[in-house]
Amino acid sequence: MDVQEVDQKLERYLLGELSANEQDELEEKYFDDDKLFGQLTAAENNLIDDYLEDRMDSAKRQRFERHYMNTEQRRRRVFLAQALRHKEVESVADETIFEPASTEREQKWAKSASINPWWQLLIDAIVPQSPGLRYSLAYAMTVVLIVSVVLSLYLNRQLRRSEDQLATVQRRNSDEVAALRSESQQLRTQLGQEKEGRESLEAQLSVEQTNNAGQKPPTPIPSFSLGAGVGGPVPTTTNPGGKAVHVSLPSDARLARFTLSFRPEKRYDTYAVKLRSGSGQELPGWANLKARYNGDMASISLLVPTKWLSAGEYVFIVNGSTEATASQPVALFRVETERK
Amino acid sequence: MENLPPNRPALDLSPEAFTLFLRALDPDPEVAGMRYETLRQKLMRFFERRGLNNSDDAADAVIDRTIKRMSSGEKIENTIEAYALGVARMYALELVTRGPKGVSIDDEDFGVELVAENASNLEAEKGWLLQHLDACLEKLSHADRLLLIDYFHVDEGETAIEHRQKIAERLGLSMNALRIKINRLKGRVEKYLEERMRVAKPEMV
Repeated sequence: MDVQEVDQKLERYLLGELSANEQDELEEKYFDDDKLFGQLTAAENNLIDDYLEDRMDSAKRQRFERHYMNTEQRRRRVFLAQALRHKEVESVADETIFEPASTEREQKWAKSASINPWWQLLIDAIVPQSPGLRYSLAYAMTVVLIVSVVLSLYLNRQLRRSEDQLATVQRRNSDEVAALRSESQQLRTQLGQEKEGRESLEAQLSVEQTNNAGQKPPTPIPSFSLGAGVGGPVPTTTNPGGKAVHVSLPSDARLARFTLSFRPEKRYDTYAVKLRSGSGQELPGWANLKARYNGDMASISLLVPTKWLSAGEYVFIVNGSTEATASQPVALFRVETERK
Repeated sequence: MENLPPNRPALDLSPEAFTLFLRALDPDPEVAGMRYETLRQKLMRFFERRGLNNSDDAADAVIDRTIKRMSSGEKIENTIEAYALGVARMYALELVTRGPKGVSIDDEDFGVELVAENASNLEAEKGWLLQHLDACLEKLSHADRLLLIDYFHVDEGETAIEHRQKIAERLGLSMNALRIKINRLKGRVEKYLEERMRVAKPEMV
């Protein structure tokens, strides 16, 4: 007998449609076979479902009402199933812990999940039913909670302290890096100036060597005085000396001496001179120059390779600095050169 | 240990005899309790089929008689369940002879008469059940209560089987295991209802 036939027979038994012999035979079987009895209760539940969901034809429905619902216990099963069906709407709504779902299907699943949440099953499985054990568990959990809070506060304080230390180290490192960068920049500037000075000296040495070798008659180094002694006001940065001084450079001169005279506001330890063309192009300059003083007048002599100067306007910019102060502009001289 | 039977106040049944009966069902007390409950359910179905209103009382009476016979040294050739079925058949015959108005308990019309007799009480029965259902459901754990309610809830456009298959999948149970679980839960609610009915309306039992 296959499952379907068994189910049909069980249904007929419940509806009182079996003969007395068939009935006795089936009872003997399900008394000895728990599995068959399980099928019987399943068939009974299905029958109740069909009845409540109006899936029975009128004849079967009548038979169900007359022969199945003829005892109080059976009626109670039907009423209970019916009541539970109506019950679910309000109960589930009360117990829902999920966000409202958008679709009907999602709502259904959210509803189902809330009906039997895994955490509830877990809690039911682990929480003792005895009040004494429950109090003990509650006490133990309270102790654990307090310890957790204390530990959390302690760890939080340690974390803040570590963060402060880290911030201090980072700040210190940042300052050191800035100082190193600044120093590096200064050294780079100094190196550039040294390089320019060396070029100037090499040019001068070359001239001297040529002169000493006697290969060529010595060419006097043309000298030009700028500032005091050439008329007009003594140049300063606020008084750049009026018009540019005209300078005529011999074509065979490889160097030209420029003596810059000016009146600084104070005596600077060293001076630096920058040479800039009229178009704003920065040319090599001089650094760490010591001035000669005559009263409050200062003068600096520069040997300028003539190859730096083509016909046009140039500006000498003099800056002074002391150990205590940074470089400050002191004077400015304009020249207009020509080659002859 | 919810499957263990309660200590029923049997009239002349000693606790030792009851314990011996349980051991005969199974040495494991928990399994024995389950077998006891299943046997009781089988006996209830047996008497319900015969249209008996107090099927639970009849089932208890049959179990008591079985225990008494076993404790008096009567040998059981077959299983305890098969033996209990024989006792139940004898008990049913007794009921026929002393039944109301001499109506045969196996008479097909017997149940019809009972329905007709109780028809006016159907709504009252239903109302009483609804009134006490919440209190009985409260006795189940939260998870069991919601599972039972969900099991019987079927949305429109979905069959009960489809719905219950989804529940079984969600719980990681086979359909059969779920059905057994639900039957036990429902049985417990029915039992709570019976207990309340005994206290509140003894005349209804």
